[in-house]
Amino acid sequence: MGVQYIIDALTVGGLYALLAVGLAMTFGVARLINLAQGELIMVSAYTIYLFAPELWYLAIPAAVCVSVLFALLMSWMPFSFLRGADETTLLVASFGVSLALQGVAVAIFGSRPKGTGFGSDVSSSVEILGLSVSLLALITFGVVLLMLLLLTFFLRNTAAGVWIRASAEDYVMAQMLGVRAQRVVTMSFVISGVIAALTGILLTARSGSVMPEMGVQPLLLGLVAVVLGGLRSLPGAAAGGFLLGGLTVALTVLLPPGIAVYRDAILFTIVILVLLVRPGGIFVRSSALERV
Amino acid sequence: MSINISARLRAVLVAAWTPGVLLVGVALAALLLSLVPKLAGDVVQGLIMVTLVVAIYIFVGNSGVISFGHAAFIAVGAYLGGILAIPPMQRAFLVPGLPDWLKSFAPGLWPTVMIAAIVAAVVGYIVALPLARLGGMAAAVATLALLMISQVVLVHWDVLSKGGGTISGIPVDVTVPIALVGAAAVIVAAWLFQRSPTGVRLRASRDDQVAARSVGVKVSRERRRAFALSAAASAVGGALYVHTVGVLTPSDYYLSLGFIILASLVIGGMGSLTGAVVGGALLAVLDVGMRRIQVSGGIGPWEFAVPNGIATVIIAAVLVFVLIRRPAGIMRGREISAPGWLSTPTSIRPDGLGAEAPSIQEAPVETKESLSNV
Repeated sequence: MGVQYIIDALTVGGLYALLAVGLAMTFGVARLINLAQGELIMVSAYTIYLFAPELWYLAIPAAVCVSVLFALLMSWMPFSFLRGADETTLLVASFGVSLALQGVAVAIFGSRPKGTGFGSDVSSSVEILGLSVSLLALITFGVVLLMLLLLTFFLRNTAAGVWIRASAEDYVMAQMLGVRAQRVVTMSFVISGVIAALTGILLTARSGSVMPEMGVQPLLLGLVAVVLGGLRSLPGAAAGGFLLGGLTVALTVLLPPGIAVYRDAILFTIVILVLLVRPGGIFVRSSALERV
Repeated sequence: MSINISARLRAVLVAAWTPGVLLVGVALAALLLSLVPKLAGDVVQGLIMVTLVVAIYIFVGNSGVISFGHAAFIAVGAYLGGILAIPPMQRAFLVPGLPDWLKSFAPGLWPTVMIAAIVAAVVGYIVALPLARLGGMAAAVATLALLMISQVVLVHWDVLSKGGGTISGIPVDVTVPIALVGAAAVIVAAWLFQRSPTGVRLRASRDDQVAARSVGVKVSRERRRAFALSAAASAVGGALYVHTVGVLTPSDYYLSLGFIILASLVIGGMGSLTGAVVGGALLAVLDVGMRRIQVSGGIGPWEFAVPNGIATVIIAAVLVFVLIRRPAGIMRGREISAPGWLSTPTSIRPDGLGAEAPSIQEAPVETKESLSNV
């Protein structure tokens, strides 16, 4: 039983970690908390809906492509017109983009959830070391781990990765030293698009259905995770995701049935308490923060 | 021609100019629009929209700290206002979980609104005791967490309902004058607050927190006060809003409301009361206009079919377009200030008229030139 919960915590936490890293990418480079990343999840899910279940092998790459395409469109309109605007304006603009894309989805597909049949092949369980583990949980964890490793490799060992990290550290300084600002911003949008697509694919496989506002709740949990872990640190963001997932599962297991319905209330109370102690995020060195 | 106004009257006029113009503008627009048949209900909703945006402005605008959580206080107002407005005869049946003393308590509209405001202020102050220490994204996420907590409580608290949190049977009886009084009260409160010592200190901390702290501003304390007042004003809006829909539904007071009022404030320009009113009015016009088009399938003689969702797209497109044109909001943090002839004292002008006012600013330059000539 115990192992089952750990697997749950790792899969739920892994999804939050992906979302958190996606948000931290664009925040690091462009100071943008992109709420419309939730709608990148949604567009990739609808791409799956159009292809699945027969053409699932086409659906997955198509979903990634569509999500990246939308991410690039966003980076042009409206965000390239908002360069230099303050964080609140960017946040509200991304909310506008998110609303617009939801509206388009409602206009095209209607507001009701649609079943996809995608992921039914992986809903079975497999026996590993005498434990029954959901295949989808394994796939989710594998994808998350692979993505985080690839991203770490990319950011540490390639020139483009170093540009991104330098821009996240000090945008103006990086530009002065010859980092192409536009290219770095575009790359961060592409990466966040890939991440959102993977999250969208995994979420669609979990729930089996798609709907216009399906990206909102996951994205906000990703936002909580990234701020919990530390907006200015990618490893911190990922750790924040796993922490939030772990807490969610731990509360589900530990709370007595009478107050189990208040799980999320307790979870978010803990989030507030943590933020009070570490406003800059748990995994950010306090020396890295501005002081008064 | 010279206008003789006593210095005292002039001071009063200058001080009251911004809220005065805003109140007259809002009232005129509301009353004129409500002359149009069948538009009264929309005008009430629009006025409440303005009320809610001004309410969030009291905290967010003055402190510069984002809050997603104000929908929670709107909910406090709506639930209190809604439940107390249900006639006692039906209340025991519609809200069976209520304690006995609340089952028969029916103070009437305005006392109910006052109670809602006071309760929200107390809750807001208590919540702000810890939250006021946070700024930036930490504050945004903490208030988002607050909103999520409030939603769980509304849905699951069995005092309110047996599951789902939906309560019906609230009389739909708020008229344009009532909504106008609510909006006016909140606008005046917001103006008095931003001119008060607390408001000025808070705005100083918004503009430069380090500098404000260094001259002794206790930022958390000022934020707590603003948060409490802002929560109270939000509850006033909520207590009136519930009368326009007649049903209490938890999801009405969740993310979309929390985001849309914040977005309206930023669109209007979050640094000024005028910006808040303009943002609220713009949202009201867009929202009501789109709903009209969607319901009736056209404007006046033009008929066209609008698929669901397109209204949202248009509203969102306008929001984004305004932000691109004006990243700091429509008003860019400015107020409608009193005209020059009123705000500059007559005594220092040669003829007491505004046309000569610029000469006061030019005077030093002339002196400088004449000095250099010598």
